[in-house]
Amino acid sequence: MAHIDEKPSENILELDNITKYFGGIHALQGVSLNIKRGAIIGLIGPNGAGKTTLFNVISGFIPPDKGIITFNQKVLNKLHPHERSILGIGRTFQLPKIFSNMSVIENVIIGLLQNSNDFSACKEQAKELLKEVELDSFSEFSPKDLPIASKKKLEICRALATAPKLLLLDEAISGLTPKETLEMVDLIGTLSGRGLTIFIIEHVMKFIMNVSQWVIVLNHGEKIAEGTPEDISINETVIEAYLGRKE
Amino acid sequence: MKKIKLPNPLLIFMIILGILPLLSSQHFYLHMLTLVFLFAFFSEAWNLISGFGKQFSLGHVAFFGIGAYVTGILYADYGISPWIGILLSGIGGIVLSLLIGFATFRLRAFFFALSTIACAEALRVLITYWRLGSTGLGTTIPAAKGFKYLTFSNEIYYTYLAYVLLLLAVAAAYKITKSKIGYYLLATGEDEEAARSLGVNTYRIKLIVFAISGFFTAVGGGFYCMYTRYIEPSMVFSIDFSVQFAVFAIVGGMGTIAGPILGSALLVPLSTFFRSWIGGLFTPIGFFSYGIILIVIILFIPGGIMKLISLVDEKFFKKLPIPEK
Repeated sequence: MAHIDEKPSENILELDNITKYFGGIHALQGVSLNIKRGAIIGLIGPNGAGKTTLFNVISGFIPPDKGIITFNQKVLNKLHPHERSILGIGRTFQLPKIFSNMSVIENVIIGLLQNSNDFSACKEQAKELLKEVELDSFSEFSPKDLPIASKKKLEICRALATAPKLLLLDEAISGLTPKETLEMVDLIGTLSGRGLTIFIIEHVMKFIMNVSQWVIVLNHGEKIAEGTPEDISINETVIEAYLGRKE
Repeated sequence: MKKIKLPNPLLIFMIILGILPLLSSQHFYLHMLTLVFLFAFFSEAWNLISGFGKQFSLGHVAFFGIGAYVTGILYADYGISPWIGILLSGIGGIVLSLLIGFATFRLRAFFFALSTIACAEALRVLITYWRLGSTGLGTTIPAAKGFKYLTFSNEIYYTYLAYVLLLLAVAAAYKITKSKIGYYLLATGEDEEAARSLGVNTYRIKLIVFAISGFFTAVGGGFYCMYTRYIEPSMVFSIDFSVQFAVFAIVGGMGTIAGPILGSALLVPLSTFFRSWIGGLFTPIGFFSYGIILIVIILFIPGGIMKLISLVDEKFFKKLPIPEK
């Protein structure tokens, strides 16, 4: 995928000095960052760096102790997760949270009902969305029977059903085969091509460096670097965070 | 070829249930049917929030008790028609469920279940002290004959009234599960975080369905009071009722519409058999046997009778299409 040379001009999401404590643990330490509209931004960092906590803060599942979250020029701090979803923040979870007692299509319909009360229209839309992620032939199946890659696609499809402006993907390719990873790269590229802003947490460096236009690095809850994938891959602080200090 | 549309199995099931009271005029048979319908109704109401919404309430007896007391006291002390009393019971059930739900829906799983028990117990103590200070603990409901006073000499009227209540609860459950609220309720029950991330106001959905469930349970409590003609706090606020509502739904199949009816149809006669027929000195053996049967059912058919039916249906009747991809 071609990298963009210039950062898009307008910020869709702005985090200012986000701080979060869990008891004595400083999970996020004054994290400030801007997410450009329409960009694909990668969020990396070693285990326990605070990546998922940051996603939970953005989507409203964890309130920050300090700091301001602004989405589309609107301060989100006091809004609940469902209100943030309605405003246009969609997300997936590290371990797919699929409604396993519903069919695949019903999972997608749940997302579509946010903007419609017409079940038959929702069903048609859900079929279209499932087609896009190549899950249309499984629509009446129980998601329990799906392989992990399809569950991840279904979760993305369900989030897309809410018509998000910003999509938070938490480890979208973990556990996928190389072929499935490539399919996911294509899917993310297609979504980005439509103007959707995508913020991805991922551990697989090759993937994040390939798919992202801008990369943010967290370590011990602190933002230690941000830049283009090329810059990040040679950044001494980042290398040190992952591999440790040279003796 | 024109596709023949089969009638809804639930509709056929309800019609069959509606015919059952006509099969015998024996009092005991009709009494048993009344209890089956009534407890199926309570279990259906409980199943709305605890089966479909997976918010395990063990305090539903609070609505049952408040319903019984509103109808009973309004009639016994103020002469207000039990029909109006039952309606007011339902409103009381809504108010109480909103109060309890407002305080407890922020809690999760076991804490929610425990807090609902606490609310029901608090209400029992409150009513006990209130009645101690007035006319005494127990209240006998006067028997003035006639439709207006919900007093009938023939058991079949009670049986059909209980059946109508069950029909209403089944219709409500059916309507809810096919609606946006129903979809949201199922999603909330399955994974609240995922539901919230999709824009579902889970707290509001739980409150709405809890209020509907509380309304039905309180209405049933009012009817039960007029049926048994006697109420006292330790009886109508006994946690045993909450447990029964839950057990009938669990054995029949939680989160299904027919499950609570099947559970009630199996367990109401069974418990009566063990309690009454193996009575006297052997009563504990009866309870013990009933308990063993419940354990066996829950252990070997965790999804309840409905799960068993769906497994048989899938194995012998349905062939799922094989996906192309």
